[in-house]
Amino acid sequence: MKIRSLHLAILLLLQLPLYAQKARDIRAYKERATQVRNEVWEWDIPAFLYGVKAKIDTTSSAIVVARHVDVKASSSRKMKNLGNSIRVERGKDLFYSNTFREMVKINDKAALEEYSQFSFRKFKNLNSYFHRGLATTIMGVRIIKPNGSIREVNVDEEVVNEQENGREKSKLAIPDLQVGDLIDYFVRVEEQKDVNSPVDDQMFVLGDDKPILQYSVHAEISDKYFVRYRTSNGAPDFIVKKDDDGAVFDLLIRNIPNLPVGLWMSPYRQIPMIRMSIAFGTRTEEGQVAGEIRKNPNAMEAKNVLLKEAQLTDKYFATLPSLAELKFQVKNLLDKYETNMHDEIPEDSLSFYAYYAFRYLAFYSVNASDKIVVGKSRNYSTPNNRRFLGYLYQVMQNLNIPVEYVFVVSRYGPGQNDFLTGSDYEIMLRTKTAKPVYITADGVFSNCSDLSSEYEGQKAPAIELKKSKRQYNEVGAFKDIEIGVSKPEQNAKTEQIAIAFDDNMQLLKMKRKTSIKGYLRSDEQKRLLRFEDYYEAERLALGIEKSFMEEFADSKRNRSLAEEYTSAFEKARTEQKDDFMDEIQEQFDIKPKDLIEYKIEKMGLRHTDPDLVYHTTFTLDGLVKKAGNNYILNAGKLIGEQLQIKPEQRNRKVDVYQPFARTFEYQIELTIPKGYTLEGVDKLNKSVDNECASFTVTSTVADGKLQLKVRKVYKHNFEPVAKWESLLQVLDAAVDFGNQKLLLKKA
Amino acid sequence: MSAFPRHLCLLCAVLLCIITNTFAQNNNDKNITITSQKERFQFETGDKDNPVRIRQNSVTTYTCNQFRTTIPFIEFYDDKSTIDEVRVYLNGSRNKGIKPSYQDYSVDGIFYSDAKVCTLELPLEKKGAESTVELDKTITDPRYFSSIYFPDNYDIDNHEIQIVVPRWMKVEIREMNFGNYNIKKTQEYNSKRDEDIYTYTAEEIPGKVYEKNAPGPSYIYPHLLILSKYADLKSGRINYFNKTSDLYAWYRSLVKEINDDESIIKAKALEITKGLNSDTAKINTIYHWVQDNIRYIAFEDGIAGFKPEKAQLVLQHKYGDCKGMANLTRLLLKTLGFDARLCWIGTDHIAYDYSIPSLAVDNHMICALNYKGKRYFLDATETYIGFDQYAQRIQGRQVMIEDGENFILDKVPTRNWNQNSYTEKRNLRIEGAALKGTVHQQWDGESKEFLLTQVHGTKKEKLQDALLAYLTESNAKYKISDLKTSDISNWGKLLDIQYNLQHQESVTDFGDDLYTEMDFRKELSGYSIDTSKRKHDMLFMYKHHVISETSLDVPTGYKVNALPDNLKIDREGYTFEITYKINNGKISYFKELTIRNTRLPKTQFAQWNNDIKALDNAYLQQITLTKK
Repeated sequence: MKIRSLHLAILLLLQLPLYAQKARDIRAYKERATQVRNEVWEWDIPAFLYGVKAKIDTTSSAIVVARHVDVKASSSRKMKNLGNSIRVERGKDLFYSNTFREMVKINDKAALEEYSQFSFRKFKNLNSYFHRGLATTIMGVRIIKPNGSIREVNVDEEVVNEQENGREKSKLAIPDLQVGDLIDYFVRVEEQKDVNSPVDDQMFVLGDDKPILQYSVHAEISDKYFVRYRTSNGAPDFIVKKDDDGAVFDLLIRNIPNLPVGLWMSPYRQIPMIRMSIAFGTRTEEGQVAGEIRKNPNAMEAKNVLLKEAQLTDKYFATLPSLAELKFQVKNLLDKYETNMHDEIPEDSLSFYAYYAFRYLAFYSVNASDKIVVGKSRNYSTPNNRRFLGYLYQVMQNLNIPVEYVFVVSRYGPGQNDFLTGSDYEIMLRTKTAKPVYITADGVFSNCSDLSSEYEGQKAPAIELKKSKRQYNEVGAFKDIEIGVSKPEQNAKTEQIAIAFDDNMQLLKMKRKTSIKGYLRSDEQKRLLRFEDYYEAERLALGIEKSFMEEFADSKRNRSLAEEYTSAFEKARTEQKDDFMDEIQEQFDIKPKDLIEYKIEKMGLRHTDPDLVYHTTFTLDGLVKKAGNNYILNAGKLIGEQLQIKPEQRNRKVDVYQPFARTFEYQIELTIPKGYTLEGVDKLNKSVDNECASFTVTSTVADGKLQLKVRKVYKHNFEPVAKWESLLQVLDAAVDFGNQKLLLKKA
Repeated sequence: MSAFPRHLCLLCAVLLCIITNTFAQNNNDKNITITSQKERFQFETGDKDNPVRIRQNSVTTYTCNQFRTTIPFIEFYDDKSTIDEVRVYLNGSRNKGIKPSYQDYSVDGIFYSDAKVCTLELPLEKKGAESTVELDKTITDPRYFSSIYFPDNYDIDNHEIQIVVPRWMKVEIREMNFGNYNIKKTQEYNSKRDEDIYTYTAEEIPGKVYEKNAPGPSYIYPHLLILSKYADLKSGRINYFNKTSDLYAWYRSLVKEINDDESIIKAKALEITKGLNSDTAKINTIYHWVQDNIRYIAFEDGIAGFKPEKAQLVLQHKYGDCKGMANLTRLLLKTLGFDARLCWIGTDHIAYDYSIPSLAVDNHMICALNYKGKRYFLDATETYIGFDQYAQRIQGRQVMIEDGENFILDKVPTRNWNQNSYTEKRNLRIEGAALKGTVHQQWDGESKEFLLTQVHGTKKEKLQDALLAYLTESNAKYKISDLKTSDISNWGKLLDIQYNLQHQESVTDFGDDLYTEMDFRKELSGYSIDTSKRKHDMLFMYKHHVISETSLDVPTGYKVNALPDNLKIDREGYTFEITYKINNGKISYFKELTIRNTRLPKTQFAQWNNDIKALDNAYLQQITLTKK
C-alpha cells in the first residue's frame, strides 16, 4: 500500500544523528500542535466552509474542494511575542513555516486508498557543519461526513512511530474515512534556524491530477527577507500589500481543471505556476536587499547570479588539495600516450584527449582497493555533474585548453525566460577552440562533445573567467549561445535483418545487425556493454601499456586479485547473454526461442567512432500462422511493437515535447521458402510524410527474396499542439502497418 | 544554486567519489559459501515476567570463492526477542569497526509491525577470505520460538544446530522436510546439568532460492519445529502449548480481553440490515458491508499480532487487520442472533495443521457462521468475493473454531474450478476486413475478484478507459461500443459485461481466400516454464476455468476450405480443449482451459511445457474461407 509521503522539500547532504526527543520536547510539541490545529481550523477561508455544506460533483475520483498554502517567514522571537507556544533557542532566530491544507472529496475507492495513510517526521534535524536548525511537522486531520458532521482525528493518539534509517517516522492510518466523505487535512512545517540558513523555495503549482475548485495562497514575509518570485505559463500574479512588518502576498484561483495528458510533456513549461525564493537579509554582493520584492527577475540578474556561481565554483575547485594529483595524472596519461604511441597530440585535438583521459580516471581505471564491480551495474554510474566539470575545467586550464562555463536550463526545467534562482541552471563546459566542443558529464559512455538532449535549442549564457588580478569578471562578458538541435538522422537506429524460415515454417531465424547513433545509443550501451571490453578498448586508445590485470598479475601482492577479476568477468559475461535476450524481447515483444549468437562490433566509446553496432542471431516463433497448407506471416510485427496512442491521449490540448528528433530504419531481407509463393507484398507499401514525421514502407521481391525497407522519422524535438494531428497520422500509420500480413502459399 | 558553496564543502574531494551509485551484488554465482554455521539454543530459567527464555548463540563463517565483495548480514528480532551482541571477525581477527544498525523492518502491505532488523555490511576481503559473524540473541518466551531452518541465503557446507533442553523443560522437536538432505542427529544427556543436548548436523545445504508463485518455506526447506510444551519450575508448572487445546486456550485468553461493546455493534448491525427480513439477505448484507466498508490494514505488533482489536474500534476506524475484521463480522452477525464464531486458520502458505500445537500453524483469522445445519466461512479481507465462495488460500485448510472452552476443528470447503469460471461468448460475422458482432463476458469467484480489484483500484474518471484497455487488450483495432456492465459494486453476483465488437483488420484477403482466427485472447500463450532456472514447484493464484466460444457466420459465396486442428489435453492438474465445428453456415469455436490443481510440481514441468507448446501451436492456426 502506498503511503502518501510528506517529506520536507529540503534534501540535506549531511544527516546528523537523530534529534534527541526529550520528554520536554514532546510536551512542547503537543502544546504547539494543539495551538496550530486550533489556528488552522479557525482560518477564515469560505471555501473550506462551503465544502462542508455544498453538494460536490462526484464524477471525478477525487475533487480538491479547497487548497490553501500559508507561508510565513519571520523571526522566532517575534512569533513567540505574538503568543505562539514556540521555544526560542539561541542562534535560531529565523522562523519559517509552511502550511499546506486541503479539503478533498473522496468519490471512489482509488481516492480513499490515496488519502487513507500518511507518513511524516515530527522532528527533522537541520543541523549541519555550518548551520543549526530544527524542523517540526504537525498534522491535523478532520473528516466531514455527507451529513455535515465533522470529526477531528486525534493525530497524536493515532500515529504509530517507527525507526527508519536512524530517524523516527510517524505513520497515520486515517480512521473512519469512507467514500463520500470529505477529508480536510493540513501539514504544517515549522523551521527555526540560524539566519544564514536557506529557506525552501516555494512552488505554487496551479494544477493537479484532480480538479481544484479553489486554490489560495497567503504569505506573510517580514521585511528582513528578500523575496524574488516568478509567474510562469500564464499563472496570475499575487496581490501584494506592504504593511509595517513586511509584505503580504495573496492569490486566489477558482476552478482549475485536472491536468492534461502525461505523454511528451514538460510540466515546468506547460503548467501555470508561481515560484518564489525567500532569503534572509541584505547581501549587496548578491544583489539581495532585505524588504525588497522582485517580481520576474530579468536576464541581467540571472547573469549576475551565474557569474557568482562560476567564480565560486572556480575558486572552490582550484583550491582543492586533490586537484594537483588529478592534473598530474591526466598530464601523465597524455604524455605517455605521446611516448607509447609515438604520436604527438595535435593542438586542436588536445581537448578531446584530455576529456577521454579524465573520463578514464573517473570511470575506467581500477585500483587494487576498489570493490570489484564489473557487471552491468557499473555502466549506470553517474557522476556528480558539477564536481566532474569543476575538476575538468581546472585540468583543462592546466593544459592550456581555453575553456568556458556554459549555463543551461533543461527543456524539462523552467522556461527560457523564467529565471528565478541559479539552481534553475546546469553547468556545461565549452572549449574555446576553432571548433568549440561542449562537454557534459552524463556517464561512463559519454563521448566528448555529447550533449544532453534536454539542452537542445536552449539559449545558454557562457563566460570565460578572467583569472588575472587586474581583470575583473563582468556580467557583460557573457556570450549568449544557442545550443544546436540535432536532426533525425543523427539519432538513428538502423537494423539489417536477414530472415529465413525454419523447416517447420513457423519458426523464424533472424540474423540482425543493429547500429545505433546519437541520443538513442547510451541506453543500449549501458545494457549491453561489459567493463572488461570497454576498459580494454580505452586502455589501448590511450596508449596505456599494461592493463590493471597485467599489473596485478605481475604484483606479488595483488596477484590473486587478477584471478578474482577473471572470475568476476566470467560472471558478467554470462549475464550479458540475458541482457541481449531482454533487448530482443523488448523490441519484438516476444521472447526469443534461442539466442544463437551475439557480438558487439563497435562500442561507440569515442566521438571519432560514435556508433554502437552489434550483431545478434536468434529464432522467434509466434509470427507465422498456419492456415491449411499455407502460412501467414505477421509482416508488420517484424519491426517490433509500435507506439500506440491511447484513446484518452488522442484529444490533445498542449504542445508536444518530444525527447529529440529520431529515425528508426529496418532493412529486412526475407528468403521465401522453396515450394511457396509470397502474396500480399503490394499491400505493404505505404508512405505518410508530413511536416512532423514520416512513415514509409517500400518492398520488392527478386531472386526468391523479399526486400522490405521501413523507416519511421520523428522530425523535431518539439511540435506545437496545432500539429498534433499530423503526428498522429504518422503514428497511426505505423500501428496500422503492425497488422500487415503476407501469405506464403503452397505452390 | 546559492547554497552551492555550502554543499561543496561537504563533498568528498577524491575523484573516485564521482561515481555516486552504490552497487549491490547477489550471490547467484556461488561467490559466497557458508563454510560453517553453528547455532546453539539453550533453554534457561528467566525472571518473573519471562520465566523461561532461550539463549541463542550463532556463529556463521562466510567464505569468498571467486572475488572480493561485501554482503549484507541480516537478523530479525521483535518484541519477544533481543539481540544482545554481534561480533565480527575478518579472517579470524575481531573487527570492532563494523557495527550493526538496528531499525524497524517495513514490509509492503503491513502498516505496522514489531519486526525489527539488525543489519551489517560484511566484507569478504579477497578470494579465499573468511568472515565470521557471531550473534547472541535472547528469545524471551518459548511460545514464539517455533522453528529453526537449515538453509540460509548461501550454500552451507556444514550447519550444526544444537538445542539444549534442561529436563525441567518439556520440548518436542519435529523434523520437517528432511527428505534427501544429509542431516544427522545425535542426542546426549548432560547429567551434571540435567539437560538433554540434541545436535543436528547438516552437510551441503543449498542456499534458498526466492521465486515468485512458489510454495511457502515450510513446504520446501528442511527445518525443525520446536514445540515448547511446558516447564516444571520451582515455582510450579507453566503450560505453554502442550496440546492443541493449550494453543486454543491461549488464543481464547486473548479474545476474552478484547472488551467488545455489543450495544454499538448491534445498533450498527440493525442499521445495516434495516428493512431486510430474510436471514440470508441479512447475512449477505453484513458480509458485503464489512468487505466494502472496512479497509484492510495489517498490524503485527507483539501480542496485538494475535489479539483481535475491539469490534467497536474497527467499526469506528473503518479499518482493521484480519483479526479485527473477523471479530467485527462475527459480532455483527451474533448481535442479530446468528451463531457466528471466530476462527484461526493457516493459509496455504503454511504446511502445517492443528495436529501441531504451535503459533507457526496459523497466520490468519476468519469468521464461521453456523446456519441451518450448515457451516459457512466469511473472510472479509477478500474484498470482492461472494458469500460461500472461498479464496484459494483458505480452501481446504483446517480451521480452529471457537466453541466456548472447547474448540472445533473443521475444514474450509474446497471449491473446484467452476467457482472461478470466466466465460466469453462471441457471435461474429465478416464485414470487409473486420469481424463484427456481439460479445458477452462473465466472471465468477476469484476471476471476478481479481478483475474487480483492478476496477476498484482505478480512478473513476479513468475507469472506462482502463476497462476498455483491459477488454481490448490495448489493441486499437479491437473496437468496443455499447458497453454494458452489471453493477460492479455487487460482487455477490456474476460480473457481466456485454458489448458490440468491430475487430478491424482481423480478416486478411488474399485472392479468393479469406483468413482469420477465432481466438482473440489466447490465454496461457507462452506460459512455459524455464526449467533451466526454476527450482520450485509453480503455484497458480487460483483454480482457473476459462470457456471461450465464438460463432462465425460463413459469408455468402464462401465455403470453409480449411479449419485448424482440434486440441485435447487432459492431465491430472489441468486440461486444454479446443474444437472447431461447422453447423448451418456457421463455424463454432469452443475452448475450455482448466487449472484444476493450483500446484504444478516440478516433475511435471516438461509435460506442461509440451502441452503449452501444443496450445501455442493451436493458437497459431487460422481458418481459410474460399470463394465458391
